[in-house]
Amino acid sequence: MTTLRLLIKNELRSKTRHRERSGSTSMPKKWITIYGALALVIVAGIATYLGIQGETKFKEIWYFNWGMLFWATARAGKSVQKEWDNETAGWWLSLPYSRGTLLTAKFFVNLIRWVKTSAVIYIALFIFILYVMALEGKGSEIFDVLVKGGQWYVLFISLSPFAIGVGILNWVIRKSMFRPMFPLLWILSLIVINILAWLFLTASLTGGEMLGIIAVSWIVTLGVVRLATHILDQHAVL
Amino acid sequence: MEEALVIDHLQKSYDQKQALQGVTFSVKSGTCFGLLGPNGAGKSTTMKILTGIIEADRGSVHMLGIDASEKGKGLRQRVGYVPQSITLYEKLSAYDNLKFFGEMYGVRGKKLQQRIKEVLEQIGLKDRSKDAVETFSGGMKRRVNIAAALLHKPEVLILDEPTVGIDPQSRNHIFDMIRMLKKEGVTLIYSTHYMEEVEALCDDIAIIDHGKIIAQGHLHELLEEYSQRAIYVEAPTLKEPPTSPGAIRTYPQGEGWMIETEKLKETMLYFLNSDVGAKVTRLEIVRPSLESVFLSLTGTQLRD
Repeated sequence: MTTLRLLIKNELRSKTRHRERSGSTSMPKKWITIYGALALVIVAGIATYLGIQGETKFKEIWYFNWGMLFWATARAGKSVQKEWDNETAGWWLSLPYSRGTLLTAKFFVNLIRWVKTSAVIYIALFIFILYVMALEGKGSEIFDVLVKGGQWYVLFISLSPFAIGVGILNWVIRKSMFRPMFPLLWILSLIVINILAWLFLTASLTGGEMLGIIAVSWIVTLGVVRLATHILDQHAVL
Repeated sequence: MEEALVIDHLQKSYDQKQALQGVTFSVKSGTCFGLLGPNGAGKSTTMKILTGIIEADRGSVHMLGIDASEKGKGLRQRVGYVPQSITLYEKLSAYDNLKFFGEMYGVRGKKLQQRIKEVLEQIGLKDRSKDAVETFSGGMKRRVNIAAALLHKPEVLILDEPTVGIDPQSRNHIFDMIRMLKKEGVTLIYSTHYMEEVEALCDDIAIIDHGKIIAQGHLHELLEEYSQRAIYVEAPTLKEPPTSPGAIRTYPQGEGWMIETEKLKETMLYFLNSDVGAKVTRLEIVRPSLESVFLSLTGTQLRD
């Protein structure tokens, strides 16, 4: 457990290091502020427009979480890809840890980052909704919308391990002798994630059914990470 | 002397191409072993198998008496690996880079601080420890990279072409480090395509070409067995190849002629005492080199 914790700690730190290693020129703070302010004005403009129109379907704003699942898949894949981009793959794989531990560390790091980023986005969306509702004079619905958003947030967090696992598996396959299968698997993964998200968002599932799907997705995730480990162990092209 | 590494009939294929075709060699503890061969000969594939990055299709690797295929993870804790490409974080200082790499090998706290101090001294960059690595020359970065592989005090250090693209000063520094590590009892496995490096550093050598070990042994043994003895005659005005007793082959080189022969003494005396029809400005016995060993074994120059 200590080993895994150490790897997770260093992986979390290495996000900054990746930027440092790539040597990319970061944008001056002044411009970040300018662009940030501009984005805020645009978002405020949209919110004001929606508020004046008075026909906003608040619950649908939470659909944003749907996209976050794909983001989780892409980011997870990127975290594996970066070892090849940085030419650290050889060093990474020669570390005194099993491939399973190395991939599990990446898995948890992605999960931690996803939960954090989603939380920030959830809060931002909530403020957005709050503002539009205030303009529309629908303050009484705030609680309902917030609860609905919270439910979806928790549900998507529950599905994110599967999305992350799939992202890791896809990129490991890309670096293995099974590379030709990569585009096919990628499309398949997106379809499966889409179906899962659609089920949660639109189908009238009972709590038990949802829990069942989540449990199955977690079991599948375990298998997916194990498969990725096996491929990285036996069939990686380095 | 105990063997630190025994490699037996390693085979590895990529698609249809056989990268290794039964590579077999052993390395004695506390020695520097050179794996020499041209690009694409199978050096990197062998190194990757040794470090556990890839697995061989067939054959076995026993390192420090342990079967690497069974207990690779534990073994890697006792082995240091310096990859071909520099693996450092540019914006971080040398110290912070080493801290990161040390932690990844499970060295922590005061022990790590002490080790960082020691290795920085070893690589001669103690004064630059707080500077960002991006301000370093290629050779200095390479030295930090080697230091990163030493933090956990490995018993075996594997270096994959560690001097590619670096300045002579850093190269000499790396050579000194390797000699020092050897004195400390570390077993070194050094892959390169520079013959002069192998000559300068290694006790035993294996020459690899097309995925096969074509010769191996002590440097002197190889030179004795495969190197062609020769005499160099420098005579700028001599346009025709000189005739000398016992010459096996004569060919032009620089401003003179290279005469391959087994009769060194007779040939020297011949040129000292005879008139070859031109002024001889230099006459010397050519020191046998690994270059000529490789040439005689493969019929090609190493850097071809």
